[in-house]
Amino acid sequence: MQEEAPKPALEKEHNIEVEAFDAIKDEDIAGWIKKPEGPETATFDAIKDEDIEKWTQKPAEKIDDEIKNYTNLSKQQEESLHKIGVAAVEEGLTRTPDAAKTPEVAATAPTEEVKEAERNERTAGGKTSAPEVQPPTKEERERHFDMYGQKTESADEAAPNHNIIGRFGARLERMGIKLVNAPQNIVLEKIYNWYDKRAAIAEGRHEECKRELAEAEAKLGTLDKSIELARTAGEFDASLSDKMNKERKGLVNKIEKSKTNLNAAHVSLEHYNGKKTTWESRQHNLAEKIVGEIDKRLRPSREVFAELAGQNERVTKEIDRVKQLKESGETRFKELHAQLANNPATKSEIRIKLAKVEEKLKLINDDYEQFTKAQSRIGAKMNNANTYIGQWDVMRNEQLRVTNKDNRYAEPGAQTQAERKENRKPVHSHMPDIVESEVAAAPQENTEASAPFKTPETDNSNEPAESAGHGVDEGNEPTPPGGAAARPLTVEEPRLESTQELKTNAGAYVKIWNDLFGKEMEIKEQDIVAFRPIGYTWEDLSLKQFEDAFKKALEKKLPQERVVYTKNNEKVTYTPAAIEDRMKKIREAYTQQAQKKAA
Amino acid sequence: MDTEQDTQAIEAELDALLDTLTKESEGARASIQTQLHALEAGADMLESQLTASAHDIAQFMEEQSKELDVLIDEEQKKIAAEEA
Repeated sequence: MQEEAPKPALEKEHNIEVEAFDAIKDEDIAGWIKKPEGPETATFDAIKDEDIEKWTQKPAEKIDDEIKNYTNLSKQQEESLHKIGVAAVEEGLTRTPDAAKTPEVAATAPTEEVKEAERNERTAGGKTSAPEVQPPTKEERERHFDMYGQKTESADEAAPNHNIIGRFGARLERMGIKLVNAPQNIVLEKIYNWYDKRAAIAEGRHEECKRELAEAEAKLGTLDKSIELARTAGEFDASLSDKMNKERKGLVNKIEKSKTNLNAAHVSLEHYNGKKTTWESRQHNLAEKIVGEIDKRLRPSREVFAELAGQNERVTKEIDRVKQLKESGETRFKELHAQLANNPATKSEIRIKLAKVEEKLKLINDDYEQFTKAQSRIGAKMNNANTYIGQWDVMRNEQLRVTNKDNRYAEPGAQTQAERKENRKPVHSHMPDIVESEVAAAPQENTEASAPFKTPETDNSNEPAESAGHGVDEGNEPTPPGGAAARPLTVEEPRLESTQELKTNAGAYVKIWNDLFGKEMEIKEQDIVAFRPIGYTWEDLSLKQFEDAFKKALEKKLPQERVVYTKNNEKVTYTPAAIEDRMKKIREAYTQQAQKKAA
Repeated sequence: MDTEQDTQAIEAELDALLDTLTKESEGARASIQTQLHALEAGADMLESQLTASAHDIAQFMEEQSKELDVLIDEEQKKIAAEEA
């Protein structure tokens, strides 16, 4: 009975809805379903360069401004930094999905296994025998366009835009690269910067707490001396004792409070430093993954390109020989023709032969023109491919800069990446250096900044095919002889100008500690392993990072009261200041040792 | 007589020239045409290959973006909680 009670109300509501629905006119519906304007529904032709700039460059600039605003804040302003930082991060996050997320892709995307199998199949096919590589299917094309918010109703419609090197292709792909890549990098950089700033503030607070503690301890020391003096002088009466004891108690309380504050500041500093490292690692990991993927996917194309370049060079030589044949034939023909013109005894048979030679020369000339036209056509295609590979190299190099790695490929045009902080701490990437070894092992892969692909119009010389590489810079730089194999690869030499650049040697560092302070507290390398960032070896860490891990291990080993006893039963208190002092000594000894070793 | 001899010599030279031009040009033509066809097919194939590579890389980065979005969302929540 109770369940039936709401029915009249529901029916009433339903009737209202029906009435309201009946009142809707067709014109209204037409108005409602009118497609909104914007990148989702705009045709590709409608997308302007300004739009691309707006979607990609502007956020980066804006974010840079925001980051600049974070610096040089007064202490009062620091209080509001939390909100500013969160707002900035949130703003970045809301932009990212707009640019990169596409629900359609997620809904129709094949499984990981299928995708990987597809990719590997293409890569394997292209590496050895390029013609085996099939263009993407209709489904792939549609998925491709969905990725950029472009829908295609049919394969025919998709086809013109599908060709990346075609009229629309390069532009679309460039936009695609930026849309997928740039916002992620920006957000990651922003999060890193936010934590970096927080870590700097935490470090300031930590220093302040240390100073307060030192001051309180100094005051207590002075007071104790005064008490001792008063006692010695016999002036330590009841009232003075009461006064000084009160003062002493106050100072002891202050010291305890300062210690608590210092510990809290220390924890906060570690937290923000840890976060900073984590988000920087994410940036590096993403960059390394992208570089790895670009290398993996473009390797077959690079190989095919190098092979075609060599082939083109050989055919150029043959065409040159035809040209020489034509020119020498014409010269000789003119000479003979001139001799016969002055000879009255010229027979008609000779004139027929002359005509035959002339006809043959004309055929050779036609052939030559046909060859050069065909080669120009091929050269244009190769130039397109060259330019396109160069665009990937720009992106690849941008990612390498994130990881502070050297660029291996020259790139065309101006750089588009956001400027990175110069005072960023040095990074030791753990990415396998496949590029260097591959470049060294593959002389056919031409990687220098190239002049355009040679055609008979641009260059008919018989020099080796040096200009067929990618990374177009329109020949601004001279190409070294011997192509990529002769190109000097930058090798990082170990340098010891500053302690920041010292390589981490965990064993040596721990040994120095144990030599100097092992009596108080022995540390083993295994103790520190738990604080090493996941996926890193000791060599990957900067000395500062290693010291942070070492300090954490030390803190963990300390008893709660931070007091240890030596074998001689001497009491040692490990205050944060004492730890800092010991760490400083270790660093000095370690630096000296490393420099001595290097020398 | 000299004129006749000259004419014969020129005739012989013309024969030789025609012979050379014919042999060399025909041999070169066949070779060059084959190579140019192969080059053109290779250049077309390279275009297709780059298209496929571009698709794969873009798809890879899309996947990376999605994974990263999850982490970023989580971080945003943590920051918000920290602020609260």
